[in-house]
Amino acid sequence: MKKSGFFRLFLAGFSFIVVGTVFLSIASLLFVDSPDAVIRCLFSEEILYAFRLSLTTAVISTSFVICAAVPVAYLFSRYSFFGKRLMKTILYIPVAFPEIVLGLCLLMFFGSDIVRRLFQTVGLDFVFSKQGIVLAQFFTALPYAIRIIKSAFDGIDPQYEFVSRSLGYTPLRTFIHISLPLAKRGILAAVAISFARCAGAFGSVLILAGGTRMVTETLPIALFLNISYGNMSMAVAAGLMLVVIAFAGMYIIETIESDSDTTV
Amino acid sequence: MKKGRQSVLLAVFAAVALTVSFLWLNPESGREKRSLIVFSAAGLLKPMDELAARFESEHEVKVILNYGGSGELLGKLALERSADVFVPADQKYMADATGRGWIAESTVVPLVSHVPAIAVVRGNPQGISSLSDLSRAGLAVAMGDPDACAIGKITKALLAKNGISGVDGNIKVIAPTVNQLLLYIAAGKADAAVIWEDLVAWGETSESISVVRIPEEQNIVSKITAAVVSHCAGREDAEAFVKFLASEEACDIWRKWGFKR
Repeated sequence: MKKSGFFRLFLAGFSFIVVGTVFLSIASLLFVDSPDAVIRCLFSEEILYAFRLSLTTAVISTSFVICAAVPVAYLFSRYSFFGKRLMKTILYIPVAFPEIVLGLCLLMFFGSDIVRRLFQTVGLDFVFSKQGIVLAQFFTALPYAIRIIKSAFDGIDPQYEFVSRSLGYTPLRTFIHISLPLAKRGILAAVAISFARCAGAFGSVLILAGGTRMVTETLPIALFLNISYGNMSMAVAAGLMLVVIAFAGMYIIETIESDSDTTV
Repeated sequence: MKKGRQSVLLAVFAAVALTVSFLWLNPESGREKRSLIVFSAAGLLKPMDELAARFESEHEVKVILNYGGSGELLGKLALERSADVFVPADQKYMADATGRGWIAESTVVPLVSHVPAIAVVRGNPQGISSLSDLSRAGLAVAMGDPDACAIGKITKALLAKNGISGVDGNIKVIAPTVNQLLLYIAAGKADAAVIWEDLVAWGETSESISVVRIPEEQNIVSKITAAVVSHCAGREDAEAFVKFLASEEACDIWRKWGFKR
């Protein structure tokens, strides 16, 4: 008993140090510049522009991400087929390589003459544009969403779907009425993490959309630009907004996870 | 119990190995070797790498190079005066730094010229021959951000100096770093951009980019300068490095990468 007490104390102390270091690093943003300068910058035209742009693009990207991730995740979770492992690996590649490489790939593909003209005929142009921001965010967040939603589908007892099928539901109706509602928590978690990823996407957005001030300037770009301008209070203001968005996203996920802990 | 002790031993061993390899990542911090931190404009990457290597081979000093946009470096200098030597791409940034007292004016040394030129897609398919062509309708121009990098500021000044208007409508992207401009021209995503002529003297870029020179009377030539940062830790080494950058020996390396005195 005494030993387990010591072990618990050790775990708590160690975790406290880890969390404390992370917290202090984030909190040190507040001490870069005088607080009132930062607060003034929070309401400056540029930061508000970047905030609105980040919010709109991230909402649009997240919606696309979820729409694309749910079917793919369901396929991966329920069916096995030739080349599945390779397909999964390809999809997950962007998680493991720098965002800036992703941006370069997207620029080369969606900026190539044929592809670009093809999209232009339907009014889409991804190079140096706000649509490009959405595209870059989409591919940055997609693999994370697929992973989370797949594991949500994996966690559903196949008995439910089996019963539904045996009672006469088609696979599609089973998916809509049984699997989707059961995977709701996972999908919500994917929404939260995708949104945070989209709002925080930097390298891919910088390369594909160009990072033009007040045009394709999302919050991470605003942070980078203002470091380049030597304008620290503006950079900190952008950083703080990103911290708030990330905190909200992570807190939602934690809430969803702890809910499922207590109910299951 | 014996098995438990074994795994504890194994864990301790792994922890020690991990710590040693982690410390080994920064070997210079462990040894007594002195180091010198240089804030250099990103456009000087090629000659600066070579110059630093040469300096290291002649002195007992490790040169740590920090590359960035000149504005970005100035910002970093404001935040933490941890650099020893400052080498921006335009004298304006040096003036800013001396004006704020981060650099002693007496240590500023002129090195080489930075000559603006127009970069176009290889073979110049749009037939761009001068700065005024940039305002031609339908052209896609990429520009450096005037607040973020020296070349952006120069581009703006060049257009103003030559009374060229109407370029604004052609500007498809304003990029914070000159490297992005090179990428966009090399990949054919933009038709033209004002960049540093020396950047395209490098083998890798000259294959995908052509250069249109700007006549001397229309051009604005920047001076690259180097200086010692006030309150730097290793003043003697910093002074030696700045002196080396301006030396005859360094001149050959500068010339090799397309820079002129």
